Amino acid sequence: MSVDLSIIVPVYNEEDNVLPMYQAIRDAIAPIDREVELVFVDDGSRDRTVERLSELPRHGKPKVRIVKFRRNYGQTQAMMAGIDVANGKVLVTMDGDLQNDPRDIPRFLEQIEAGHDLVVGWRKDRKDHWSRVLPSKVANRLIGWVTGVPIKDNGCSLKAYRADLIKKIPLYSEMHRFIPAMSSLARPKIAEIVVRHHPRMHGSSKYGFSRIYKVFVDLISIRTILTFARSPLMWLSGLTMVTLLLTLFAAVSAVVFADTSYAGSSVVFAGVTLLFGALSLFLIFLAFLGQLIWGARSKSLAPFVDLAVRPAGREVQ
Amino acid sequence: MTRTTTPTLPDESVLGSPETGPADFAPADFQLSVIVPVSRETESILHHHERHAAALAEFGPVEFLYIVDGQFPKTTSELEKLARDSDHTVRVLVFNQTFGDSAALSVGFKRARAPRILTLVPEAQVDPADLPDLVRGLEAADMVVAKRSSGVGGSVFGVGKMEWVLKRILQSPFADLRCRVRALKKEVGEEIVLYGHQHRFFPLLALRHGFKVVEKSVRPGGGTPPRDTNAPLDYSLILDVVTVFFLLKFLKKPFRFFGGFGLAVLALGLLATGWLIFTRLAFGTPLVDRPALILSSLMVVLGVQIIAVGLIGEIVTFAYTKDMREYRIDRIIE
Repeated sequence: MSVDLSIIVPVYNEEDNVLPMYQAIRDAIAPIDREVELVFVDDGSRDRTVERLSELPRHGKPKVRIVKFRRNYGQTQAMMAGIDVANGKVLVTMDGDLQNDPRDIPRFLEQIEAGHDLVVGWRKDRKDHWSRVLPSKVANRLIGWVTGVPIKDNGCSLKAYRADLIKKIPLYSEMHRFIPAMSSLARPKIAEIVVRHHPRMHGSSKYGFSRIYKVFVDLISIRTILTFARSPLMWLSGLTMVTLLLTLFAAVSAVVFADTSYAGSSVVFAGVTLLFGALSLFLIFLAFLGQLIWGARSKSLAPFVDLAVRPAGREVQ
Repeated sequence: MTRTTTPTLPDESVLGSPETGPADFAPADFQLSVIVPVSRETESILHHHERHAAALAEFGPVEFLYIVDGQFPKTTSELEKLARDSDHTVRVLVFNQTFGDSAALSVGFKRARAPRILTLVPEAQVDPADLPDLVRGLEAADMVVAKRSSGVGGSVFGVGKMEWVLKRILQSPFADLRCRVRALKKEVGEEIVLYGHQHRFFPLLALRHGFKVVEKSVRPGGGTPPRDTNAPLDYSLILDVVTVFFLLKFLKKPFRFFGGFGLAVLALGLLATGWLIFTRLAFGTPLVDRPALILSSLMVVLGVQIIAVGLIGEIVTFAYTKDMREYRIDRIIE
């Protein structure tokens, strides 16, 4: 039972926002002549969010579906559940706190139907405190540089996807801000559009400064996975090259110093040669191990080239 | 106990239980399945069975699943006799080798036919009079864990050492993880796969899967504590705590764990090496006759290794992530 458009909204302790959110989305999609479902994912809220959600009209336009988690799993998991459950051909994700404006949704749909795989919102004029905006700007630059997918605003939840593509991208842990980067495995056509952004009305923001370490470490993981997925033997090759060069350098030093007045240094350099030599070997074997893991799984992981196959014609129906 | 006239068991093949003989109860008739892993010769097993059965009689037809974890011929033959005389409410499964309590419980969960499950040990860990209370607790929770009043029963090395550690590092709310008496809904047992020594941490794992787990105080039953057969207690305890720590905190993001360590060691190593090279070039401080450069290189090497292992972990997670969704859906309303 598929519909044209699924709107996925993760909510966590948003009892006051549920009804305004629903009304705003309903009004925003009223002019669109498509079948629309609205998937709320309740991320283990402790307040009356679920009651409020189940009071909403279930079968109008949009159709409302509620996915209730057993406990709190975080925003990425909520979005993943929404993506897994949604029946639409086009999926739109957005925040449950009314900071995104549903009136932007028709433009997202337009962009997807014009042939893009992924449309990303850009909160050009953010209504947040500078202490949130500044780290986010730095993070976006860094993410763009490391992953090779320069997107101005990875943190914006308002995004639209071609369902075929996003359902096959493996997402895990707290990766929702890396979805564009991860989907770059399929070389998608990405569009960026400026969206409206509102300050929070109810409830409180759920992020803080402490994310910097996590984003930094996750970024290294993402980079590794992207390199690895494209070419399973390459992911450690850079590192291995460096250690091999160091080995070589230490070995040459050991030999050069051997017959000079620095003969003592020769012993030290020989030790260093052994250390880095061992490391190079370790890394090479680890690269083979990676290949082994990948080989064992390659059947169930569709080759990412497959994802890039687009429906014929320019229109995505 | 009432017998029904239903002669067939529709999913007999699924249950795959030739050891039970013809089943006279349809699965729906059992109100409670009691699972008892037996991991050594137990002389008074029939005595305990009677006490348990009497205490639980109020729940209507109760099935008992004895899982004999290894070759214990005396106990097995007693149990088999019990099963023959029992109107098919007692089933006995025998492993040909010892696989451990976790395996026994997993098998039990799969074969239990009632919607509610109670796990017991063949001794009296808990006063049988308190067992019905635990089962009734399932009306408001998915799992009810027995907590024996402190200082009595419990373990060889004193109750609560492991719980204390777990409370500190994992914020575990449980005070008596050594007590194996737990009541749970069938879906909890079906969803959580136990292996190794994880049966000890079953309540913690259930919490992580989003189930509602509560603790209920009970009186200790005065039985001897169950012994761990596989390893000396303290060693296995340390391993267990490490395992469960990693399992609960970093299974889905290994590099957050390895990366922190690795980057710290690597940074230290690079700083030390840089300093040595700088002093050598600028002030001519010799590198000979001391292990400084080798030590700093060793730190760099170690740091890179930890990082690389963490990244392999991340690749494994990535490769398997489609198979293991982290979230658990309670229900979908549509």
